[in-house]
Amino acid sequence: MERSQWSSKLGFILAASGSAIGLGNIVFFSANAYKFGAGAFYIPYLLALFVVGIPVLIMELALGSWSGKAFPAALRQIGGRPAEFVGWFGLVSASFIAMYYITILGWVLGMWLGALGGDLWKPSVALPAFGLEEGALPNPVAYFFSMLSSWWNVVFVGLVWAANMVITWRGAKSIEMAVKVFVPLMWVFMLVMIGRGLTLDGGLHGVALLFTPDFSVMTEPAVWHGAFSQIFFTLSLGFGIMTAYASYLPKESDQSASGLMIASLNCGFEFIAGLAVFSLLFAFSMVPKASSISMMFFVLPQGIASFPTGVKLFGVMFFTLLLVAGLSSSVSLVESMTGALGDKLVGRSRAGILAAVCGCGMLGSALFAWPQVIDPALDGDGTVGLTLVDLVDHWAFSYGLLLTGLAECLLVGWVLGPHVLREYLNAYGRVKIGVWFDVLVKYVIPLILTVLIGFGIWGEVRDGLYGTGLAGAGTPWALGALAVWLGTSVGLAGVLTMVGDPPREEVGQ
Amino acid sequence: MTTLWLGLALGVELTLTPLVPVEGEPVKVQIVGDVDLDGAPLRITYRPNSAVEATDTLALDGAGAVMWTPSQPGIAVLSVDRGGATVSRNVSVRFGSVPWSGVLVFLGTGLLLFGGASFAMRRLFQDHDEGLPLTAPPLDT
Repeated sequence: MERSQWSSKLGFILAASGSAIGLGNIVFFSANAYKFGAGAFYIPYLLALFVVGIPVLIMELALGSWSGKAFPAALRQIGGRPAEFVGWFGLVSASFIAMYYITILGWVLGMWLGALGGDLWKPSVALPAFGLEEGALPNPVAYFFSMLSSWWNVVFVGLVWAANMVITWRGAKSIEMAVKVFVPLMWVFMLVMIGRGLTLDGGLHGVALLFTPDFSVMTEPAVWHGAFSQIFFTLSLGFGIMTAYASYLPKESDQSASGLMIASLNCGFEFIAGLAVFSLLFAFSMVPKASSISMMFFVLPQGIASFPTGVKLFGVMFFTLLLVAGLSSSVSLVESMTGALGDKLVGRSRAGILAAVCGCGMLGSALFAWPQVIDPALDGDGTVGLTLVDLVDHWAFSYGLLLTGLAECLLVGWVLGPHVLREYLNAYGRVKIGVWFDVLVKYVIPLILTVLIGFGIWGEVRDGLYGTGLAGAGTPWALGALAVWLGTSVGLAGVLTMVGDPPREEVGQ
Repeated sequence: MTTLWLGLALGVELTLTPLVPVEGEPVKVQIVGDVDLDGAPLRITYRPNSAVEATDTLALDGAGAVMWTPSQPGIAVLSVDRGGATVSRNVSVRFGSVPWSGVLVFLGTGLLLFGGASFAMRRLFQDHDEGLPLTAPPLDT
């Protein structure tokens, strides 16, 4: 497969920041910030950005540029087949995330249509699949579950996959074209939402709430766990995306400045998204939950519905913002797998590989959109699809990426030697990296990631396996989701490691 | 949301005077509706669903009213349970004075993030005119 290249630095920066800026920046960050005492969350969050976020981001970018390969092949250059296995494990885990992420984007599309058509702004709609009449649940909750329990949501998912395929068709070139529109549009729409939020009565007090620290909560380990996890996920670390994107750059690119730029833009976007969300929450006294789904589909649309004027305009703009931010992230997930398979399956056409990735992905996403109702009382997630999203998200997101990140740091830190990447970065970068990079990659970050993973496992032991208490699902579902995620990730990673060896090349310095 | 729905269905409403509560300033909470609330507890949950959630309880008088002085700013939920039904209302408690620590965190974070972005941008685009193709040959075509 022919490797494409970015035509400009701006294209690469927009694509990489577009990948990092997604649904999580708009909704999950604000939900997490609220949960952990708002202002008090910012201090651990900024510390996590500098201690884990920026170093791992720069490391992943350097890996891609140094090797000229996507994630698994880049790791193979360091530690042979076992290292390549780590890369594939991360990518398969990321593919699970891509599948349900695109399903959620399908739901965003459905809500966008509801916002445009006006049904979303009615006081309520009926939910025939749940046996509930109009008025039983208020909108937008009723509209969301009405859509989720119909086959239309599978159609929406198919449409979003088609959009992903079109955007990734020509690799870096077509992605670059799309992000040059998407990323500026995202910032403009977000600025408009901030303008609206801050001019609401009480909006400024919401902003004050976001930034005013409550230091009593900073002693809670959960706050630090939340902040470090948030940074890892928000920068798309452990997905192999940054390595794949950087592999499309020339070797002499300045990866340290790129990493700093991407991290700043990503967290800067979260910063301004927080302004918009918190002004809205405060103005309409809404209580958020630490769940992207709840924040995205219930709480914020409910706030928009309370606007004195321009409900439809701002509603459509909000869902367009989500759709555009989500698409610029989902194409990077599709591209990281397509690029990695292209490196592995030498001689195969990009179109064939992309079609296979999108075909399998679409089937998986359809499963996550399955509309069958299993929880008519809505005590849990309601449908088969949303229940699967909830369960698989827990395993792939909370463990898959962190495990990959940990293994990646150990490989660079203890097998390759972080000084190799640091010297490579300093040879071409204007922002010089000091010995601190070696210390962080070798000792500090692995320790932090081990603690985060251990903290998660301890939670499973203390509170029971995630999902066992979920209404409509229970223990077999929780165990099934764990087995499918782990079995598929390990099995597929093993197969992909063993098949079709690419020709060996000399890389790096 | 469901509880408020239920409250409205029962014809019971929770009102505040003045309408906008402010940290440290007393506000009258009144339950309006055909229910006996003498001695019933009014539960106040500050920053609900967060790690800093705090609760306070006040007893309503025979007229279903009580004076409440919000102890912290932010979103709070006021709720009353009676006869198996719950009436609740979300309120936003405003800051009593300018929160200078918040202003400091806001300015510091903004400066760090957007200052970092502009620093990196200057370094990154120092030598290259943006929009021009990168000059290095492709690595692997």
